[in-house]
Formats: sequence, structure tokens, C-alpha cells
Amino acid sequence: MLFSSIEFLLIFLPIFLGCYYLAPRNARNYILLGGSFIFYGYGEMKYLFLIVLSIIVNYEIARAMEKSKHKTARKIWLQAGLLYDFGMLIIFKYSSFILINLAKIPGLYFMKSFDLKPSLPLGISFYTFQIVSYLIDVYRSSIKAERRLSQLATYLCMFPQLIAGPILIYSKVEEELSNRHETIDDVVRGVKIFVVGLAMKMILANTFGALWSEVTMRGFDVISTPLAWMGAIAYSLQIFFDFNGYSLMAIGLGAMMGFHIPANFKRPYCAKTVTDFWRRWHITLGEWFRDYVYIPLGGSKGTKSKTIMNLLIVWLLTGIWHGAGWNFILWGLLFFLLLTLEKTFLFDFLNRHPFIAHTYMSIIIPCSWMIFVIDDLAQIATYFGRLFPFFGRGTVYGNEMDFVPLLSTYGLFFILAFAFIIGERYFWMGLRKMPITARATTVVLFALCIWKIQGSAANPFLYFRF
Amino acid sequence: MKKDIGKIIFLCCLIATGVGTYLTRGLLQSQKVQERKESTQTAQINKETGIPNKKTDQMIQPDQNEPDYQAEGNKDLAQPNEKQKFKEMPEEYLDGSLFIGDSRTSTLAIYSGWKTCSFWVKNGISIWEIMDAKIATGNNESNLTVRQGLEEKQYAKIYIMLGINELGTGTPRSFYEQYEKVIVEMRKLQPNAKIFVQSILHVTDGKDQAGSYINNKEIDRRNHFLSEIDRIKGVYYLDLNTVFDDPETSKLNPSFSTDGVHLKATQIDKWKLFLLNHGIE
Repeated sequence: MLFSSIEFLLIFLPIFLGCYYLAPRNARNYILLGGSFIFYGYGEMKYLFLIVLSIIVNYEIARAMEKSKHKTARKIWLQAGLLYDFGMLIIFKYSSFILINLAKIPGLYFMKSFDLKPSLPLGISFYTFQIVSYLIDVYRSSIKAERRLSQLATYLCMFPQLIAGPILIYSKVEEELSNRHETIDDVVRGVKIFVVGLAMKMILANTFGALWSEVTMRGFDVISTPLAWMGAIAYSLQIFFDFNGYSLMAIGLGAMMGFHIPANFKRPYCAKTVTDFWRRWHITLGEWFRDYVYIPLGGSKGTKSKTIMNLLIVWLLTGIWHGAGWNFILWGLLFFLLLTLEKTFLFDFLNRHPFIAHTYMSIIIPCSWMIFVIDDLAQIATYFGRLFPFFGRGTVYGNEMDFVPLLSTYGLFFILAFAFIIGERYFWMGLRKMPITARATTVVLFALCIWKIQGSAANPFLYFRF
Repeated sequence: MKKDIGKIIFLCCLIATGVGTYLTRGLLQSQKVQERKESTQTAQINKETGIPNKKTDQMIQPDQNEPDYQAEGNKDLAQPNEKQKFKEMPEEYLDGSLFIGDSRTSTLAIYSGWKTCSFWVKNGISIWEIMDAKIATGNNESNLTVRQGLEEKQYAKIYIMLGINELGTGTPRSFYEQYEKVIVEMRKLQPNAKIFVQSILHVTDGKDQAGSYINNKEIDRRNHFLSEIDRIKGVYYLDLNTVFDDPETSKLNPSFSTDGVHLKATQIDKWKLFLLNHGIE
């Protein structure tokens, strides 16, 4: 079930919230859990068992780990858990990619026949990372293993963030899982945040998505350089409003139930450096990699070469996490390269020269997204040939002015999007400080979204398949 | 409690607006859907306009439980002269032509470089809305509806390709009848123009397998009906799929399209050649 669907907005959510608020406090987690199962099952019944299995396996392993006194035994339990969690992720997300590439090696062609081409279970990348963080925290004894199976299940499955994050760390919600109170202020705040997120998705992300697909359909070898840039910027805006919109909806839904789900985005496109960008973009993922990969590897405490090695590992993994494809690996490597450059000398320089920094970022951001979204390496090369025609790749086929009609159709949305990105702080401030205006805006935006949802057949979230 | 009243009113308003918008939009849409399912009276239209009906006794087959339309061969036999009347034409033949269509034709509009041609295109447009779409240009004005544009200026050749956007609504029969209605009206407005109706292009295998309402089976059904449109005098049906299909699969060749639906701009030359090879004097 999509958040931006009539089924969710006008059927599931009202019924769910009705039951939730009427239920006594100690029954609310069960309502939330039941609702989450319905939510997940409605979207992907066939993989519901996988998430249930994950809960049971990890619950038992965490308990066993806690009971065992020996350090080695604990370690073995942890490894078993990680093997299971990442094993499932690899089977369902990466097996096809691995086998297809192995089959390219002479003599290993038969590998292709092992490829079962499994479809990706909804949200598996997200819930695997959540449950792994729980397991590692129990191993580190920073939290206690959860005794109530239902509590752990609620943590892993709660529908606001089940499918596309933010990635919740157990220790941060543990308290609220067993004891939370929502006031009418929380509900109103949650509703506002939710509707803003929904509007980002429906009004901005979908529009830029349409522009990007229009650029794609023409074939990259014919588009003019301005159109190539317009396409890259459009996609950058699409992914931002799509993913940020989704995260905000999750945060809003959480707030309606008294949860404080952490922010996932803090004005990332205003960042002056790539280092800074990744502290503002998909924050919960960055923190996960920092806490469970980078720091355990030694972080930046060792020698310089060790630090660079650690960065390489983290960024290869970050790339692959986003999808099984060479382009994602390349994308991860690009960030590794840029972050290494910044770590060695560029960071201070950029911070001292904000104008250069913003120019640098406004080239890096769209370019990096092109590597992310175009899954064919040759096509990526073609696209960059159009972005930077002085490298002499590709020729314009017909029309140097092909971007003009699109500019007149989408110009207003670009202005709207840039205005939001630049003035986001004031937007949220206004939402808080001018309650009447904020409420009226919310109602209008909501009506607009419903209108658009009813009118459009399909609007899948970009981040659903990661 | 008193200060919470505003908040409660807000929440109630929000729910009411949501439901209200949903119902309003739903109502508008269901009217449209209904309209698209009901058949218009084709025979009557022909009578009214007095257009000679080439195949008068060949009534359109009902679209329920229709036979396998893949057997296109039979149709060719039935009208042996149809294919021969097309002639190869020189480059200038297309000069001054009018192209009407959806996003699929917009590729032509932007990248063909045919400066003398007019392109009236709009993304997402369907045969149901085309006559009232404000995409036409006149001698001096722009922003005219297609109807006004056709009233304003006469064209020698009009090429139309529509049909992908409305695949999910109506039936092949109601689609065809609407198409015929539009063509008959165009005929009236442009009595001397040759009107070329281009088949709905197939989609690639990838798109076909995706299981949406956009699939080749439905396209074939509709094209089967559409191929009858040349019974109206001065109207010609062009089966573009013969050029762009992968001959092995009878689906759009995947190397011609990035998204499985639209032709890449690099395919324009093939399109042009096909139009030139299918000229009418």
C-alpha cells in the first residue's frame, strides 16, 4: 500500500487511527502491529513470512546471546544472526546480480541457471539494517534483549517507516515503544508534517519524475546539453522530494501515534561539501554505516591509509545497498573519491569559499544522481558526453533548443522547488508560528493531493525497491 | 479544552476536504468512463456526413469474445488494392504536413527538424480530448483548439497517431467509434486533406510483461478496429508497427526505445522513410 494512495489515505489510515485511539494504551502496540501486517501484506503478501521469520529468528538469537556467558558463544550467536540477516538480503537482492556476473567468467556460464530472479521483498534493505543494529547492540550489551516478541515485532514492522525508512535504532525507540503519549498537539503536528510530505511527493516529485522520463524517452544521444542538465537537475529534485516526502510522511505518522521518528534530511542541497551533504542526506543510513561499519572498522583513528581503506569499504557498501548494479558501485566509488579528496585537502578550502563550494556541489549533485539512476554504464557515458559536450562524445541530432518547450511547462515547478530548498527553514518556522495559515495550507494541499492521486494511475515511490 | 477546538475543527475539515475531493473527482471520472464505454452510432454519422462507406456491409465486429487478431493475413487478402496505392515520394512530399499526436509524436516535433510541418502534440492526450485540446496554431494565432486550428487553415496532409493514453479506458469498439467520429469531423473541416491514421505503436516486451493496461494485446485489438478507418474517403491507415516491431516477437524493438513506449529520436529517419514510402498522390 502506498502512502499516496486512496486506499491508504481514506480507508486504511482512518480506520487504523480510529482503532488505535480508541484502544486502551496497553493494547496499542498490538493494534499497530496488526495494522502493520495488513499494510505490508496488502502490498506484498508473499513476502510477509520473510519479515515474520526475521523477527522470530532475531528475537531468539538475541535472547540466546544474552543468556550465554562466554564471549565466544556470544560472538558465534552474533555471526549466526548476521549470516541469516545478510544471507536473506543477499539471496533476495543480490543473487541475480552476482550470478549473472559470475556467468560472464569463462567456464562459469552454468551459473546463470542458478539465477531464480527473485523479486525484491518490499523494504528488506531497511528492515534488515534495523534488525542488525538491534542484534549488534545486544551483542555490545548497550541494550537488553527484548523479552516481549510483540514489542520487537512492532519495532521492526511499524508501518510508518517499514518500507522506506527512516532507519530506526532500537535503543532510540525502546522507551516510546513501551510508553508513549500523544497529545492533540502531536496529532496536529503529525498531520501537518504528513501532508507536507505527501504534497512533496504528489506535486513536486511526480512532476519532476515526468520531466525526467521525458528526457529519458528521447534517448540520451540526441538531447542537447541544456536539456541534459535540466534532466539531471529534474531527477535530483525528484529523488529529493520523493524520498524526503516519504520520510516526512513517516515522521508525521509517527507523531500522530506519539513516536519521535528522527529526521532523515536536513536541507541536503544546501551543503557546501560532499562530507556535509552526507550528514544531511538520508541521515539515518549514514549514521547506521558510521556506527555499525565505519567505527567498528577503526574509523579515522588509525593511519591515513587505514582510514582511506575504511572509507572505501563503507562507500562500496553504501553503493551496493542502494541497488544491485555496477552503476551503484560506481556511484559509491565516486563518493569515496570525493570524500577522500575532501578529507585530505578540499574540505577546508571549500568551507572558506562558499561560492566555489556551492558551485562545486551544484555540479556534483546532479552528476552523481545520473550515475545512480542510469543503470547502463555505456548510457552513463553517453549522458556525461551530453552534459560535458567539450569532451566530444555524441552529437546533437536535431534540435539545440529542445529544452525550451519543457522549460515553459516545468519552469514554475523549478522555481517552486528551488524556493523551497533555499527557504526551507522559514517554511517550517511559518508552519509552527502561524497556526491558522498553516492549517489552511494543509487542507488545501491535502485536497490537491487527493485530486492528483485520483487522477493519476501510478505513482510509485522511487525508494520502494531499495 | 477550549484552545483545542481550533485543532479539532482543523482535523475535521481535513477529513471532510479529503473525502469531498475524492468524491468530486471520482464522480467526474466516472462520467467520463461511462461516456467512453457507450458507443456512438457510427452508421448514423456516416449518413449525416454523406461520406461514402467503402465497406458498408462490413460492420465492425463486437469486441467481446473477439477472435485472434494476430491473423492479420486475411485482411490483406480482402483488400488487395489497399497496399498498392501507396507510392514512394520525394523528400518534399512531407512539406507543410500537419502532425497530430501525443507524447509519441512529440519526439518528431522536437527532433525531426521538419521546419515546414506543423506539430500539434500534447503529452497524455487521447482521442477523446483531441478536438478540444488547445494545442493548435492558426495563420497567426496560437493556443487554438484543434477544431479551431483546422477551421482556420487547410492542410494537404494530416498525420495522426493517438491511442496509447486511452488504452485503460473504454473498449476497442468505443475507442474506434470515437476515432471515427474525430476523423469524420476533421474530414468535414479539411475536405481536401489526405488524412493518415497511424497505427498505435506497439510497446516493447519489457513493457508488455509489466502487466499494466498498456500491453500489445490491447493495442492489437484496437489497431484491428483502427485499420478499418480507411473506409472513409481520403483517409489512409498506416501500419507503423511493420517498421518498428522486432520481427521475431511482433513487439516494439527494444533497441528503438529507452522506456519501452516512445521511439528514441534516432528512429525518426525510419519513420520518415516509411511515410515517404507510403505517399498518396
